[in-house]
Amino acid sequence: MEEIMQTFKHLLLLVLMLSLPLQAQILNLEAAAAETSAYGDLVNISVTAQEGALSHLLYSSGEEGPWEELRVLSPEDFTEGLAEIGLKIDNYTPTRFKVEALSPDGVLLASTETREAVTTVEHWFNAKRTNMLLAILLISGLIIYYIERAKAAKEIYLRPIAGLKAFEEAVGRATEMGKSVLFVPGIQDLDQVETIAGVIILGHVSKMTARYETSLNVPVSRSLVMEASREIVHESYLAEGRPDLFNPDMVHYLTDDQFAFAAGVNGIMLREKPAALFFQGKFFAESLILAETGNSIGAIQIAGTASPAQIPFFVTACDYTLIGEEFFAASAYLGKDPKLVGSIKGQDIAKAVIMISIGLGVILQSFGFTAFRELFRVM
Amino acid sequence: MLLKRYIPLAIVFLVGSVTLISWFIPHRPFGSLEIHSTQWFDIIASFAMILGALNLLKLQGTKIVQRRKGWLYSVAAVSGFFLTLVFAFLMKGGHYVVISEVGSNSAEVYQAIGDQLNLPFGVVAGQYESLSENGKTIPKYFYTERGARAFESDLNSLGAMTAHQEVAWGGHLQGSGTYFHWLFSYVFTPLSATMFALLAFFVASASYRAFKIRNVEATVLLVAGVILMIGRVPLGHFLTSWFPSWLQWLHLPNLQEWIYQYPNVAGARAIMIGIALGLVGTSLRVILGIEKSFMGEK
Repeated sequence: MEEIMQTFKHLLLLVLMLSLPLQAQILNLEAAAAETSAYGDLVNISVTAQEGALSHLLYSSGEEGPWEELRVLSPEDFTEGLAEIGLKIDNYTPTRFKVEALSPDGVLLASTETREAVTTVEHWFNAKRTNMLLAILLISGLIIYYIERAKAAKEIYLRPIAGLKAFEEAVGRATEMGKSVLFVPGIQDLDQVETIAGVIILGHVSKMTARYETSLNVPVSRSLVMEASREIVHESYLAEGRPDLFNPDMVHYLTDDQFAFAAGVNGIMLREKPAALFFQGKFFAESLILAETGNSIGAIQIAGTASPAQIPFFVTACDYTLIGEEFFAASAYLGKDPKLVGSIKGQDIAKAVIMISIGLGVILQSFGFTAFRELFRVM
Repeated sequence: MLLKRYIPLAIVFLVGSVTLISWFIPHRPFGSLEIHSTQWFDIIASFAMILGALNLLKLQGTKIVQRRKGWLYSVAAVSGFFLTLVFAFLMKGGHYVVISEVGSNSAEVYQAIGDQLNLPFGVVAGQYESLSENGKTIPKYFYTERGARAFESDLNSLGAMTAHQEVAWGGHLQGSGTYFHWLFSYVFTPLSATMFALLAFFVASASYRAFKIRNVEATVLLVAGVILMIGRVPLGHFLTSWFPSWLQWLHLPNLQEWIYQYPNVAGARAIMIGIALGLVGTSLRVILGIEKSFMGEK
């Protein structure tokens, strides 16, 4: 009898051990239409599965459709047992998802499917981005309001920006020394707002060089920027009544490559020794190479960029640096066009609104009111 | 006036405003407008590259012809330009041998292949023991056909059946053993790396200037910089690891992390907010046609 009991205990233990993988196989599957996607047809799927098991993701179009394999989830898909996958499905088609976990030898360990079919729909408005729309409308509204006000007002006060005041001084210095002015409008193409801002500033600098009869050299790294810069420099020389001084080759193409361009500009600096250097646009790692070379030839350097990582390099190596918004305000500041100045005023008011919101947010958050912060969450 | 002013302004307004509102409309055709616009831009920019190339040749060519100062640099630039064109469109290299039968002297054939590939006999034997119907490529690429033919004749003399082939046009831009690949790997990459490496020296000289104690701000910068640098290496941990628990906030790794995470992030975010506002303002001015000077207008 005791032997039978012993055998029974062993058998029970064996059954328990065999059933352990199935019990330990915790599977969870969740699928929901993504809140932000181009056509609303994206589904976010999260799968929780035991490590080591081979998970197969299946789908079924329609409420009763057959299951078809979508993909096999590899171990790389999982982070701490959780895989998050974005999948596109047909809009307006209820789709069910199922995940099956198989052992390495193909035995089904566990299976689970979504409770309800997921149906994606194309929307005409992404309600999750309402806060962003309101913010854009508010900022744009403020800017447009102050542009309209500026048209009527005699003069709008702008705080002095040392870097912008130094533009004329730098060109004047080059004139006095009988040397050239070098202007680099960044290394990116015209699809970047920074490049457009740089080219706009070039228009003002070229007016100064035309006025002072100083030679201007503009090496560029993109063909489209070359064409736009040429056009703007030409217009500036015409506007100053000195078309005779304009030469299309003032603006010339070097190369698209980042470091080859830096080498080319460095070569120009070391050979021609310009007295004033302007770095206005989008820059990357070459910023310090350019600015330090400029520093070594003793030129006055004015940089302006919206690339946060490059600002410290320019601040260190250049005489003046236009940081962030100052760079974008340069055109208005130098041009004195009331409409442009008005837009800067609008930007400043928007900044004040943002500062007040941040202050208010800090206070409310400190007292445990989190709803205010949620208003600013970006989806 | 119509072509030069109103039509470009209308295009800028239309494309700018539609792209902006498409961010809020997850519906066809708005959802993918941004991607399509980017592709359009890339196509236009590719054509415009010809203008840049012509400008480069014109300026450098004039320098060479007129023997202006530094004309030898222009020779290097123009030579590099044409050499790249030749290696991209006219000469490709990338010759290789496909072996379809090893023959009776298999050991010697394996040895010959191993010598070319710098692989031990055993590895080669394992790889080439069984060959498929189409044969097996020997992954040794020759710049010239002569090199591949010489290797092929060596194998043929040992009784192996081989065929000579070369990489396809297009594939030569990335495949090894091609002239273009040689130019990229052994000229362009080292030159780019050299320029990038210069940064190390420039960072040192710039840091020296920035850290010179001239005023309060420079002193704060120096102190913060030194704490950050030392706090991120084992020395920082070693120097202050003996601090009692109530002074742990002064432990250099903790202190540098605090500087990095709080004052640094606060300053960076302030700049980012300013940049974002500047971007919105500039974009709005361009879309509304208030800022037209980038089109060459006052």
